[in-house]
Amino acid sequence: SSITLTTSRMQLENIPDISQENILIEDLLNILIGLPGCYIDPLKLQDQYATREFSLCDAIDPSLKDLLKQILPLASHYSTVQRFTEEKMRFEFGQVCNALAESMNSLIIDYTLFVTQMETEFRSGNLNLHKLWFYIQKNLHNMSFMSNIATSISKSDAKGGKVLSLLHDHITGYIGDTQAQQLCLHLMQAACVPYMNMLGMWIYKGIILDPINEFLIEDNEMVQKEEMPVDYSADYWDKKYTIRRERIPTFLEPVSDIILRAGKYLNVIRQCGKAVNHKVESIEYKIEQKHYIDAIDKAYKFASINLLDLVLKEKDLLGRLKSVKHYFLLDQGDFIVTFLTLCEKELNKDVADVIQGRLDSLLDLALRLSSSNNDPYKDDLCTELLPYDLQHQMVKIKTVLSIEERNLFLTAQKKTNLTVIESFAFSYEVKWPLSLILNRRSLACYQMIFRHLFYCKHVERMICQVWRSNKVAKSFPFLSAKQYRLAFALRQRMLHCIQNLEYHMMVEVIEPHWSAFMQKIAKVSNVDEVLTCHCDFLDACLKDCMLTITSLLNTITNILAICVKFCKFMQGEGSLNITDGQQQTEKVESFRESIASLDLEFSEALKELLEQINGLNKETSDHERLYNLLYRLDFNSYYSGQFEKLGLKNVRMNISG
Amino acid sequence: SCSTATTYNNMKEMELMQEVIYSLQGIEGRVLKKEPGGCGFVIDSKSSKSLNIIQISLIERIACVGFLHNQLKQHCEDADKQIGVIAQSLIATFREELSEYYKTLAILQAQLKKTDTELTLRRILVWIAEPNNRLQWLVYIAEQCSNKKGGVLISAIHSFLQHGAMSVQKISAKILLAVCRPLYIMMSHWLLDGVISDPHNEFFIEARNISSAERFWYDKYNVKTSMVPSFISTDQAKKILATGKNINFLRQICKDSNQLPGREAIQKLFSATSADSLFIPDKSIDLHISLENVYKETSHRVLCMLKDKYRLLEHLQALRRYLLLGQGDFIRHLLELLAPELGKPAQHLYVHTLSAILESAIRVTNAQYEDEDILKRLVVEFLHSSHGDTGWDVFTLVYIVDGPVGTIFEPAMSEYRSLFGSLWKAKRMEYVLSNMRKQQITSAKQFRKMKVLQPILHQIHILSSAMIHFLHQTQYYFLFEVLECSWAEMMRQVNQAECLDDVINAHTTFLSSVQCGVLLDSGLEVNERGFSEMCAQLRIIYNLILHLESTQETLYKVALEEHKVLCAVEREREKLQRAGKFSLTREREKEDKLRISKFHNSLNVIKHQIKQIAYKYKQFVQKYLNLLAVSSDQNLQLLSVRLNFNDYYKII
Repeated sequence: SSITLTTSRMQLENIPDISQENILIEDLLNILIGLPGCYIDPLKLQDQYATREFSLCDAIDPSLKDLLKQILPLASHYSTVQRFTEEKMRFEFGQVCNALAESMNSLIIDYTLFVTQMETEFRSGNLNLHKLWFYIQKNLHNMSFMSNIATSISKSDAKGGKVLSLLHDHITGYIGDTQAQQLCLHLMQAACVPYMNMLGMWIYKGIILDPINEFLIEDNEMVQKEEMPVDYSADYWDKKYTIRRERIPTFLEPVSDIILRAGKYLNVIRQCGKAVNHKVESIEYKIEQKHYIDAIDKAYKFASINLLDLVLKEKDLLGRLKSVKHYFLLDQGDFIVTFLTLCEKELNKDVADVIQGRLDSLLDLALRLSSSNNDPYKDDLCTELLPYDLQHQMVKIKTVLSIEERNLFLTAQKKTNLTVIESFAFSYEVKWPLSLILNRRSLACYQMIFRHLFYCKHVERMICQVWRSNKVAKSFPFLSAKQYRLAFALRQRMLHCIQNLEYHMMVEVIEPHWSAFMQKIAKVSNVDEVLTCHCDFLDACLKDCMLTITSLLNTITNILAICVKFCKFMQGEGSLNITDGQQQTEKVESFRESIASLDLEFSEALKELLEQINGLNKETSDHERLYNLLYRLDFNSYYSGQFEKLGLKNVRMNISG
Repeated sequence: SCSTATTYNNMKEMELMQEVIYSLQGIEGRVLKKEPGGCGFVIDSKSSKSLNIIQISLIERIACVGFLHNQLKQHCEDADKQIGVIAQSLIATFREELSEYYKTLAILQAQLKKTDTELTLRRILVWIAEPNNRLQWLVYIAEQCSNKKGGVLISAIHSFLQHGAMSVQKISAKILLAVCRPLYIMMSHWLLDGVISDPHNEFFIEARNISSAERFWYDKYNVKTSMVPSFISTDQAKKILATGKNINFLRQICKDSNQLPGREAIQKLFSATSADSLFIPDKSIDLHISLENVYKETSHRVLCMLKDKYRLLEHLQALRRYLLLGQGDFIRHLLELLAPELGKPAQHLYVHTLSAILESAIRVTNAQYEDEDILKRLVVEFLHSSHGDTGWDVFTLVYIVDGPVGTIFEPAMSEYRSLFGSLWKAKRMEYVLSNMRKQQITSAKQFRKMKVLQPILHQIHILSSAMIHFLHQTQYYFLFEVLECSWAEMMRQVNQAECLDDVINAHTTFLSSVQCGVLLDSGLEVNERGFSEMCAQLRIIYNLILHLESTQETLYKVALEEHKVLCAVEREREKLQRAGKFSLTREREKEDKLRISKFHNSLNVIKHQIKQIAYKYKQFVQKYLNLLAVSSDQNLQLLSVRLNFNDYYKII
């Protein structure tokens, strides 16, 4: 064929321009559909995505040559698009690319048809290069636009959502150019089909059909629910399905969160063994966003209402929460009293000396002896002995200290042997799907509040016992009874303090928060809201029970410790009442001294507490409730008066200021 | 010159177009020759000289489609080698596609023959652009499916649905629908009638030949995992298997000819849907939901059938009562009646004597109120005996199960046999020990005067008491903690069961937990290293008990003889005294002395024996307790504590 080529090339020089034009058009018709011609040669490609260049035969008339050079870019664009479609039809480029390639391919067939029309025109002798130039204008524009898209997709190696984003950007970027925009919209609608199918399966059925990882939601295959029950729920909610940011098409960006949740809710419902009967509707891409956003919104609402129904009505979330409140927030008075009475002895032991099975059986007994017997969920309650005390736990959570300090603190804490009361906590077994809401985090919060309340209750009971055993003093003669007056007064102050603390926490903090929480939960529209308002409730309780402010918690722990010390001292002293003589006066002296020092310690600690509360930031309303505690603890200005008397003027009790 | 060139070219083009159309059909021409040994076309080197680049490139591009056509046709022709209805339907679809393609060619040809034809080579390119695309994918699919059959083939085609292009999806869906149709029919046969109509082994359920009807449930039908299409999950495949199996079970084994539950629903389902509901996600969910329902219904039916008609629960209860010694009075009485017989060597035993004893044991105990049918199934059998075996070693009770229930229990029978053996042995030890105790008490008064016996009797009392304690605790553990607890757990599961397999699983777990509990080596073994050892220790301890029994027997025999002689001597002496004579002659005295020393000798021997037994016994019990104490099973640890409640045995 090289011979014919050279002979024809030889001929070309001798041919007049007009005939040259005809021969060139014949050539051009081939070149335009990607086939070689006699006088126009395609050059080798630099790389896979490079633009195709052509070399022209030297013999061509220069002005014709220039005309050809104008037309040839169409062939280059055609080549780019053709290569793009062939490549992207392969499975590994994903469904979106496949669909896009297919739609481009059909445009290319249309284009080939156009070329054959040109041929017909040419055969009937009506075509010259100028006419051709005129005819290809529209196609040139379209083709260059497509090759533009193709190059940018190939260069960025885009797949799935990214391709859609790119097309979407083009659509919005070419508002002025209607022809380009229409073309792009056409491509976009084709490319969107597989993606929208995936989206539909996800938001209507909760199924991910995504073999090549194009979809914006990813299923992080975790261990099955049954295999790993401990952290499953928490992980499920946060980690099982995640949004891959880079895969979101830009036009779905604002609703990506809703998309995630819609499918996630459906999956939770399915995990509960219920069928999801939701019809799959096809979603289409339109320039006006309304359609698909509406569809997604609707699907989301369906899913969230169903799940909410399931959780609230079928699984009786509120009943559960109430049951949890009974035990963890000491709501059920008789149960707590029974339980404390039953395991009083156990609670004072060292952790190492106690068998948890025994505590469990005592708990069981207490549950059945008290009015909790009517609670259908009582069997889910069990005991837990934590390896750290509350103060320690709070510090661990509030990692406010630097690491070194914390380590120091931790080692210091480790040394002390914990007693049962310090490490004791209830725990609660929650089944799927309620474990999504009563997850480990929230149960830990409940535990913290519980431990604090429980300890206070325990101390209160100790003080009450001291009071009971001190009843003996009534029968004492006036003189000896007088010796105890100070001690009794101190006891009374301690009792007052503890009881008011408890009152504050239970009545002024937990109850109002609880009722607010209940009101909020009655109005929620999806499970995420349930989660947030539950979280808010717990956070508020933690904060207002002074658990989150380390310095306050330390002071309160200190006060409680002093009370315990006092109680132990008084109980030890109790037996020595009746001895008389010289010994007794010594005893009385030492007793008085001890009481005085305890008194001082207690007053100091209490003063510190009052000061700290007073010193809290009053600008914000964060600690509003705490100021009430000031009134309660010091309702008759006893302390402030006393402090003034002692010259501690710096305590200002001006609460309203 | 221009016009001549065009006409020349035009003439040429007409010829070329004819060439090309032939090549599209796979036929050689003057210019386009078949590639030797391949499907493609090459341009004849002679005629290529008269063609220019433009024409060559055009006909080459068109000939590519001819190449694809040839390939597909080749596949269809090779189809005779492929067997199976599913591959058949694939080929049929290919043929259909080909004829569609030929239709296009026919139109092209007609266009060419028109006088005022507008057809050019380029126009042909446009014409065949679409068929080209289609053929490409068909050939691709054909390649992927070659040498595959059944479910594998379907899975291969199913993967093409993952393609994003609409046209590809349409083609693959069309083919998939075609190949699924046979599968769908097979499934409907299977689900409606339990019939496998699958001559070429393509279905994902296979039927095997089974040796006996008892193996029906376990072995007859199976899921062939390789043949399960990718759109049916393992779980779903299992349910489909179970549904058909249920139907067959009802039909073949239970001879139940009633209308099957859920059959109508399935019939409706199959008539209303087509094969595409297998793989289109939306429809397949519905399909599987209805399949699930049918599965549940048939399972329920099978379960009800077994429970109500074949009295599954009664059989379970009977096995528990008679083979696992649940019916205490009966077993005890049987043991008492059998004891003399079983002491004999194994060869001297006859089934009919023992059967008669069994019968009489049934008559006088509460077992007589048992259902006649169940009692009929209870028979005596001998195990294979070797030389020196006594009746105790070979005797066993057997419960005969047949029919539908047999399919469930038959495989478990050997386990029941070994369990019975183990429990029966323990029972026998209890019996032996209580007999020993009885003897001790009844003869205590008699031998009160024989002071020389006292220390040895004391020894024997203590040892037997220790043994009694040991055995009571062991028995308590076996019967209560193991049997009762496992039984309760099984009953709970059986009552909750939704299908027969649940019941079978519950029964199997029951058996294995009992087997573990009574320290038998379960067939699977290696679940715990200590088990066989514990079992061996227990056997030795049992032997020691038997040893002690025989020793005690000899002791009492010797003692009784001596006692008789003493009494006789005493009486004689009295008689003589009354007569005023000397009590004994010198000879008699000598005789007496000899006898007494002989008696003492044998007493010493026995004493020594007892001591030895006691020593061994303690040693082995200690070993046994050690094993129990280190066992990972908490119940066994507790058993060790209970056996050693006062630290009598020193456990390391």
